[in-house]
Amino acid sequence: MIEVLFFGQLTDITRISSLSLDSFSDTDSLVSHLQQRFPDLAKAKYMIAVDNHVINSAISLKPGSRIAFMPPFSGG
Amino acid sequence: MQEPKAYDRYSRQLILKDFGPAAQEKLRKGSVLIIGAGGLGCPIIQYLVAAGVGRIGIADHDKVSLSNLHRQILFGVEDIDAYKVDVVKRKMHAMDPAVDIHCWREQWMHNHCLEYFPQYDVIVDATDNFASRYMINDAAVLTGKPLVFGAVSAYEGQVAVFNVRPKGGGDAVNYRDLFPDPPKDGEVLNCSETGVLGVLPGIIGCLQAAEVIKLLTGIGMPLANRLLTYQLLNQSFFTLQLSPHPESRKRLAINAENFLATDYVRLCQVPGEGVMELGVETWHQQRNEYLLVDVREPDEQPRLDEMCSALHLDYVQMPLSSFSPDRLPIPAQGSLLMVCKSGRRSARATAMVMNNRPDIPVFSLKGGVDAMIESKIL
Repeated sequence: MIEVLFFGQLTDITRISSLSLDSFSDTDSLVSHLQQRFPDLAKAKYMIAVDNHVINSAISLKPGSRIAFMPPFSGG
Repeated sequence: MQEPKAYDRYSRQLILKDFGPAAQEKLRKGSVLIIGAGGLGCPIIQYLVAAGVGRIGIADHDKVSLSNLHRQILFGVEDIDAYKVDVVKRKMHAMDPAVDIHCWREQWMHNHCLEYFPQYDVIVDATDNFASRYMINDAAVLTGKPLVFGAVSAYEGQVAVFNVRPKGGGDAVNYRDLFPDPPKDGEVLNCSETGVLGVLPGIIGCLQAAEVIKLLTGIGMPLANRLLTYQLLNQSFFTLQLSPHPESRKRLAINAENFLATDYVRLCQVPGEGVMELGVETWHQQRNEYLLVDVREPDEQPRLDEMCSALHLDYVQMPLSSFSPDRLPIPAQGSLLMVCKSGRRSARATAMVMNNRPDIPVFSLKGGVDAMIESKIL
């Protein structure tokens, strides 16, 4: 299992802030699964962190990984 | 620091382990430039002046309004319509007459960044829009200044320290390492569109003030190369480790000329120029020719259904967060008119319709629901 976390306005799309999923081989396959489940995620801006480290390209996932989807915040 | 009064004033932090007179002296000699004197800026300025920071710069071109008061707790009803920086300066001098405060009441622009960033030790981003945030970030990188970033979204906030090498080693990161390109206008909502609980920017501003004090005095571990996220509803913190993004350097201004030539407002604007805007009065006169499409989120007030049924207007809701031009009804006669709170998201929705459904005539209501209220139509 892996844990997926959504932050900020992404939860307006997902309506949940976290979910547990069966393992995925890498972040790309996780993203395409999530975009099928939440189509509006494809239009949203966010960065991805795996086990609290921001990634800049797809990486492989291990069981137990925690993947965070973090959008930019602008308010002040 | 010699006078007994000064000792008394700061005694509770002077007796702290690892602080003492040396750290207090660093604060007194320190200088901080805060851009934005709103929800984030108010607590930052108050705590930095209270802590004994010697020189403070504050930039904000806004005046105090009634809807500021629930979160910008430096201001009261008697300050409404006064320039924020004027009120802040007066109140901070009452708190500590010795503090050196310089204020800017004009819109903070490129030239301000290049001229004044070098005169301060630390820059604080307490603004509320991406155009300013990217401009300040790029200027801080260009001038080599530590930048304390803070932002809020509904019940969550983010804090980070940019352009500072972490104590453990590694290259410093900046905001472009998180998000190399700015979101377009309307893609991410701000406080006036999503709302904010007053205490949230207070909390995030206090976290930013704490980072400034750490940077000036050298105590603790600043949030360099880390993004702290705070969630108010369950009182949880979540920290992400940041690293340089390969695209970041390509997006940054390479020199002052390049920076001055960058139009940050345009960078954040809706793609698809040529969106046709319709003024509220014009719409109202010919209102039966338009099918109104409300692209605001379902909870946003005031709702339009009562007005529409009273005026016998066709009306549908399709929030921008789940906007799909394919699902739009085709108006039997006339055109679609997109409406949101301010006219920014409706312009974006209009551009989407123009791209996907060139067969449908579509307009954006200029000024949005705010303009309807202003002209007493709503």
